[in-house]
Amino acid sequence: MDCLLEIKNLTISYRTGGGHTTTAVDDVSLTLSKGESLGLVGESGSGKSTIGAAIMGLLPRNAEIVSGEILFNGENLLQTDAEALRQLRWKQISMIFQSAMNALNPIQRVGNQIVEAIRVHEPETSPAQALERVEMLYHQMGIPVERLRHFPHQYSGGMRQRAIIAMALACNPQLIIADEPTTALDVIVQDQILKTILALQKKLSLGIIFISHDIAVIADMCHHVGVMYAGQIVEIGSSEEVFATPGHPYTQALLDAHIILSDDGKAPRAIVDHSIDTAEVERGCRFAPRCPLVKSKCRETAPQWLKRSEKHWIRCPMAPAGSPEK
Amino acid sequence: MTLNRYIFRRLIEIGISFFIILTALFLLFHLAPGDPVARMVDPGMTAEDELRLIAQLGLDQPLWHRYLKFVSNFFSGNFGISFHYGQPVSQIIANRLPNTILLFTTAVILSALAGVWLGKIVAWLKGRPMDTAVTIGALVCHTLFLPWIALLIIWLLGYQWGWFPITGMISPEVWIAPGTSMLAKAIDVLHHMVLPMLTLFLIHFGSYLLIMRSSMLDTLAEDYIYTARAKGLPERMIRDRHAAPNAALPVVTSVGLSLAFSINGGALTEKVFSWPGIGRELVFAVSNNDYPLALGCFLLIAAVVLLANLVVDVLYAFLDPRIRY
Amino acid sequence: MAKYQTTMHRPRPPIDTSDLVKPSDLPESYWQSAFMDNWGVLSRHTIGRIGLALLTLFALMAIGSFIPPLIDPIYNPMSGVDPNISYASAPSWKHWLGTDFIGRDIFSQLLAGARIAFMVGISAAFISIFLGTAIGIVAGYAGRWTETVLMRMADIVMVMPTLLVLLIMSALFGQLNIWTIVLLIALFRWPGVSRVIRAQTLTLKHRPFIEAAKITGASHLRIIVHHLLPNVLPLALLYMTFRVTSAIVIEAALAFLGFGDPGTVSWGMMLQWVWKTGHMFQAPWWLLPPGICISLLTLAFYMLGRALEEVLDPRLRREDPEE
Repeated sequence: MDCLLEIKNLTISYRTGGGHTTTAVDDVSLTLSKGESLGLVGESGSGKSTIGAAIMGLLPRNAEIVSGEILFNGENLLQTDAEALRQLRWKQISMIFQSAMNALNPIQRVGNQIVEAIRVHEPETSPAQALERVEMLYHQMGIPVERLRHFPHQYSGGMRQRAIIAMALACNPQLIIADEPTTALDVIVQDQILKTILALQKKLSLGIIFISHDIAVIADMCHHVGVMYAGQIVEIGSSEEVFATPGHPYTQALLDAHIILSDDGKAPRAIVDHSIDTAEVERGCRFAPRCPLVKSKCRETAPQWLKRSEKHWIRCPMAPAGSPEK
Repeated sequence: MTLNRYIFRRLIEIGISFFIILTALFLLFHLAPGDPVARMVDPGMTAEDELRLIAQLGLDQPLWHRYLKFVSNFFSGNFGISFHYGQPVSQIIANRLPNTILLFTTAVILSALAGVWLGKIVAWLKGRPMDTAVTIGALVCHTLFLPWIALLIIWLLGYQWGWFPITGMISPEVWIAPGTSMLAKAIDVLHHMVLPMLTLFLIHFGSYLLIMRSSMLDTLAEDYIYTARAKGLPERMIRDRHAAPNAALPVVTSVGLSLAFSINGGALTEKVFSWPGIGRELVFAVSNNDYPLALGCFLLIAAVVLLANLVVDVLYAFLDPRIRY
Repeated sequence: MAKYQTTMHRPRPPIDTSDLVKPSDLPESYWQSAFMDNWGVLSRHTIGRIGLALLTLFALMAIGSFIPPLIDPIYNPMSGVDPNISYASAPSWKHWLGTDFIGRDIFSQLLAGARIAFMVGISAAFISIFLGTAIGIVAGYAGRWTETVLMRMADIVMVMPTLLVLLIMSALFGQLNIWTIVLLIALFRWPGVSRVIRAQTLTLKHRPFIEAAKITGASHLRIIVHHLLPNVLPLALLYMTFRVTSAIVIEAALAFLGFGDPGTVSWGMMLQWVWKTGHMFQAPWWLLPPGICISLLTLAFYMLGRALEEVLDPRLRREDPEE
C-alpha cells in the first residue's frame, strides 16, 4: 500500500507578541496509507490542530515551520508554491470542521457554498451539473434536498455537520482532515455522524486524519492512533495495540479518566489540571510535572523512543513491558 | 419574525416617536417666552385675515384644544402661512423637498458605495503603503469641517477654475429659454449639483471607508473565512464573496445611525451652495423669524430622518438572511 | 450542554499575557492598575502620540490666547482695532495672519478660537457623558420599564439632527449665549454614550462582586456609585473623546451660519466673517487657518480616541503579534 501522507520531523513554532516564540509542534513524524485513518488525540494546546492546519497550508501568519517535511503522495507540501497549494486544497485534501455557528458563510445559501467549491476546482462543470452532484451528496448524507436553498442558521447542529461533511467530499479528495467534527454535538447525533464517516471511508477508500480530545471517539473510528502531549507525539501505533497495552503514562491517564459503561465501578482518575506551558520544560520529559511514574532522570534527559512492536512506538523509558493492564 | 411584521412594528415605533417630537415642539412653541400667537400668525396681516387664521389654527382656544388642532392640522398638511413668502408652508415644503432628496440621497448612496468598495480593497491590503495612504486620506476627509471644505471647493473649482457654477440648482437662462429639451435641463441641474455633491461625498466617503475597513478586519478573524481558504478559493473570491458582504452589514447600520449628523451636513451644504432645499429654507426661516416655516421644515426633516432610519433598517433586514428567515 | 459551539476549533496562536491589564474585582485598584499598565502601551502607540502632540499644540494656543491683548490692546480678538488698519489686510510683521474686515488681528482670533473650542468641547462632552452615563447605568441596572422608557427616549433624541434643533431654539429664544449652546449640545448628544454604558452595565450586573455587594446589604445607590461606576468609567472616558469633537464641530457650524454667540470669537465665527464679508476669494490667510484648525483638532481627538480604544481593549492589541 502506497503512502498517502508522510510527515517527517515536523517542528512548528509561533511568534507571540513581545518577541517570544512557543513551540507548538515538536519533531512530529507519522505516516498514513490510503484508506486508513489515523487519530490524533490529546488535550487542548497539544498541537494536534496545528498539524492539521499545516498539512493544508492554513497556518496563521505568525507561525513558522522550523524544520521537517510533509509529503503528500511523495510531494513536499511545504515546498509547494501558494497557487499549486491552493489548487490542491479541497481537490486532494479537504477538511471537516467543527459545526460552529459561523463555520459556513452566514449570508450565503449552503447549497451555493458547496457548489462554489466544486466550480472553483472543476471549472468545466456547469452550474446545473454541480448542483446535481451536491444533491446526490445530500442524499448520501441524509439531508433533505430542499435544505440546499436554506441558510446555515436554519440548520440544526447535526445537519450542519453533515452539510460540512458533504462539502468536504464534494471534490472527491483522497485525504480528509477531521478536526473535532463531533465535539459540539450531543451523543446520539455524534454516534450517527461517526458511523456515516466510517461508512464513507470504507466506500471511498479515504485517508482520514481524525483530530479529537475524546479518546473514545478515536478508539471507535481509527486504525491508528497518535497520542500527543505538549507538541510531541508520545505514543503511536495501531489502535488495538495502543488501547490494549498503553505504554506511555499519559495514554494510561487518558484511558483511566474515561468512564466506560462496562466498568466494574472503578472511579475514574482525573488528570491533574495544569495547562501545558510548552516554553517551560525544554530538557527532559514534558510530561514529568504530571507523571505518576516520574523519576529524577526524567527531568534531565529527553526521553528516547522505545519500540514495542512493528508499529507501536512509545516515548517513555519508564513504560512497563508488555502485559495488558486491567 | 417576517419582514412585513418587522416593518409594521417599526412603523408604529416611528409613529410614536414622531408624536412625541410633535408634542415637544408644540410645547416649546407655545410655552417659550413671547407671544405664541405672534409666532403663528404674521402680525403684518390685516385684522380679518389674522382673525380667520387664528380661528383656523385654534389659537384662541385653551392649550389642550390648541394641541389637538395642531396635531390635526399637521396631519391634514396645514402648517400655517409663511411670514416671508406669504404662501402656505406646505406648498413651500412640497416645492423644496424633492431638491433636498435629490442631492442628499445621491450623495449618501454614492459615498457609501465608494466607501465600501475602497474599504474592502484597502482592508485586504492591510499594512501595505496603499492601505496606509488611503486610510490617512479617509481620516483626513472624515475630520474635515464641512462648511470650510465647501468654501474651498467653491473657491477652487468654481471661482479659480470656473468649471462649475457656484450657487443654485439651475441657471434661469437655460430653463426659461423656449425650446430647451428635458435633457438640457437635466444636465443643467447635474452641472449645478456637482460641487455640493462633491462636498457631501468627501465628508461621508471618509467615514464609510473607515467603518468598512474596520469591519473587514473584524470579519477576517471569522471561522467562515478560514473555511473559504481551506476550500482553496482564490483570494479575490474570498474577499468579494465572503468577507465583503458580511463586513458591509455593519456599514449599513452605521449609515442609519449617522443620518442625523448627515442631515446637519446636508443643511450646511444647501446653505453654502444656495441649493433650494429644505435645509436652506430652515436656515432662512430662522434668520427671518418665520416661525411657521421653520416649524414646518423642522417637522418634515424629523419625519424624513425617521423614515430614512426605517428604510435603512429594512434594507439591513433584507440583506441579512438571519433576520429574514 | 451547549448545542452549538460558538467558535470553530482551529489553531490559534498562544496568547502573550505579559503586558495585559490584570483584571481586578476591587474597584479601587482597577483605576491604578489600569492606568499604570496601559500608560506603557499608550506611550508606544504612534497614532496616540501624534494625537497627543497635536492636542498639546492646540492647548498651548489656547493658553497663549491670553497673551496678545496683554501685549497691546490692538490685539484683542473682539474689540482690538488697529488705528492704522481698519480693513482686511494681508499678513505682515505686525499682524502675522493679517487683519479681518474691521482691522482686528486674525492671529489672536485664531488663538482665542482654540480656547473657545476646548471650552465648548470639553464642557459639552463632560455634561453629555455625565448624563449619558447616569442614564445608561440606571437603565441597565433597573431594567424592565425604566430601561425601556429611557432607551426609547434615547432613540428619539438620537434621531434629532442637533444643529437643526439648535437652530429652532435660536428662533424661539433669540441669540443664544455660548453656555446655552454648550448645554443644548450636551442635551442632545447623550444617547450614544448611554447605549454603550447600558450594555456594559448589563454585562457587569451579574458579576460575582455585584452579587456579593447585594448580599451584604449594599443599597442600590452604593452599588451604582461604588461598584458599577468605576468599572464603567473608562468606557465613558473613551466616548468623551468622540463627543468633544462633535461638540466643537456643531458649535462651529452654528457660528458659521450666524447663530453663534456674537460675543465669542470661535473658529466657526471667523469663517462666517470671511464668508459673509465677501473676502473668501481674496484672503486665503483668513479663510484657511480656522478651517485647518477645526479639522486638525478633530483629527487630534479622534487619534487620541483610537489610541485609548486600543489600550482599553487588549483584544485589538493582540491582533497582529508581528508588530
